[in-house]
Amino acid sequence: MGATVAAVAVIGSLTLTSHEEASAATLVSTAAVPVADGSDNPPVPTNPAEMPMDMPGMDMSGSSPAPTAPADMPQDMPGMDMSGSHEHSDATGAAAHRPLVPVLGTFGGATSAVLLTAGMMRHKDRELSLAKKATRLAGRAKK
Amino acid sequence: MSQGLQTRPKRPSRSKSSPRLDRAVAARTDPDDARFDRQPGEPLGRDLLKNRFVSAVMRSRWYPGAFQIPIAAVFGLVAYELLAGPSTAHENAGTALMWVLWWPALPLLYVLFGRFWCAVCPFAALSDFVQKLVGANRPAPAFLKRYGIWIIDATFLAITWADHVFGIVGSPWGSGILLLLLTFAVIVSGAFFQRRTFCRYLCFLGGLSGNYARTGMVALRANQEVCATCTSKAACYNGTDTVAPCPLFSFPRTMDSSANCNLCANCIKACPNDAITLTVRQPTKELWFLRNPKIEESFLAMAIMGIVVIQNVTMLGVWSDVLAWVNRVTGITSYPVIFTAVFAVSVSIPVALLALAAKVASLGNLEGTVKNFARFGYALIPLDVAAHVAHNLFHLLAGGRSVGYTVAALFGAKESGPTALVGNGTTRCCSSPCWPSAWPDPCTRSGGSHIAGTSPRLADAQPCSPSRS
Repeated sequence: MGATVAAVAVIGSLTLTSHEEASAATLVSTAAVPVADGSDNPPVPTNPAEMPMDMPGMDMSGSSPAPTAPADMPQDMPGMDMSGSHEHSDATGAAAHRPLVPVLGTFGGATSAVLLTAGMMRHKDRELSLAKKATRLAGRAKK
Repeated sequence: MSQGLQTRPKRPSRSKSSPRLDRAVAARTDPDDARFDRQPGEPLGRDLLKNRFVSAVMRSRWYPGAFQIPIAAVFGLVAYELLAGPSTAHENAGTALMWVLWWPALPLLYVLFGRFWCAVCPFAALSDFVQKLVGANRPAPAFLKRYGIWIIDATFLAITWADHVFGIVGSPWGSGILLLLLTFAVIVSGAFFQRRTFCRYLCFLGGLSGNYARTGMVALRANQEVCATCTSKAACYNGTDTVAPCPLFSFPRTMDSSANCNLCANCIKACPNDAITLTVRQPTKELWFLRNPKIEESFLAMAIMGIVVIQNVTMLGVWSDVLAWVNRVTGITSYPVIFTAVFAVSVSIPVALLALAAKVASLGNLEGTVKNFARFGYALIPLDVAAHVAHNLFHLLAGGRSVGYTVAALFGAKESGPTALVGNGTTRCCSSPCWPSAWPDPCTRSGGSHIAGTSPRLADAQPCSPSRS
């Protein structure tokens, strides 16, 4: 259970540090944007100038219809930011803000440690097994 | 047809039956109670292994490896793309392959072939590889055997929650991190523990597939009459010199459920008596013959129902009304907090309703509330599957072509166009008959997800415009 919580914490923090627009905006912008204006109407941002630019899925103009994706983008994918304002993404989509090296380094280091430990345990088990076998054979030889 | 129809021989009735049950059976006061505990085994259909081709495939040394190798290669590509490819989801082939193709196809696979995916899963192949390389082969810890399914329940809920709050699906990097964490867990399990401990006791997909496989159309069982005369010291379970043991710790002789069988065919290859049968059955048939309902598996079915509900609701326009209402009532503006509260309520509702039903039923069916609760939860599994398939088919049908576009882009081909595999009328809720008129129509309302940063849902993914109707 603790491992689950830790894993969620890790994935959350790493996702946020990547500055992905779809995810980073989630927490950053919630403080800045009122959820509702107290009326029965759906909450519509009143002053786009005060809003963070990079908010996925939001119609910043308050008009209808909702924003459409640029024409060359495939649509309808789950989890897509269709707002059209891609501050961090260009066509090539370089992984500019991803902490790839530390993440892969940690992964590789932890994996190596696990493999090494398991290998040593296996080696030790085999030695013990061989020692037991030798003892048994020696006992038989004495008889 | 009738010739091929086999029925497992009746098992002797339980030696330790409760006095309440005996009274009920004797007095015929509660046929349901008697039916569940004293029924004959699940009727089995035609044995597919009598077909020469199927038999040859299942006994082949290339099965399931011939499937594993290309799938592992594709997953390698997915992992590379997620971690090092384009940072936007709609340009990333890893995201498309993982969340538009693979994830939606999984529940369909479970219904058609049970846990077959688990046999060809690249993580399982990785676990086997690590085990051969350095495996210490310790037995699975008793803690995992006892509480593993609860860990699976918690993991499934946590990942769904994290997706909504951190946007894992919408972020290639987030999906990549999820893959890395899974990979690490698989390596740890393969390095220290026997067989596929991770798949059996820890994999959240394994838990899901275990539940869904009960509705599957393929069942592997053993002929108990033949097994009764077997002298091979459980080769089907322990394996032989040339065949690996059952990776999911299932003993075919006593197996009466497909939840922990991944159709890897090890038992088919190892059995010296050809006692294993592979039969086709009606979907959900197994659920009518439950012998030992477990509360943790039942809880998983309820949790999945809650998850499916919240996943579907957040795709609808009404979701913004829910958020606004929660905000108005509580004054909370933080999306993660509001979502967490709604998520908790959504998951709790099926549990609470089942608990109520179990309590009411216990007044009349001579069973305890807890046992009723455990048993009733399985009734939700077909509903889970149906809702899950419906939800996932939206992604597959509305975004299926994006897989082709993004994969083509890997090879330098620039293709674009509509991503839907079928007409918009099939996949869109807007102006469809299913959309209650009392709800605000997302086609005419402003905005999509009104709280910033919600994972883009239907209103975002498919901006409504008259030309697309």
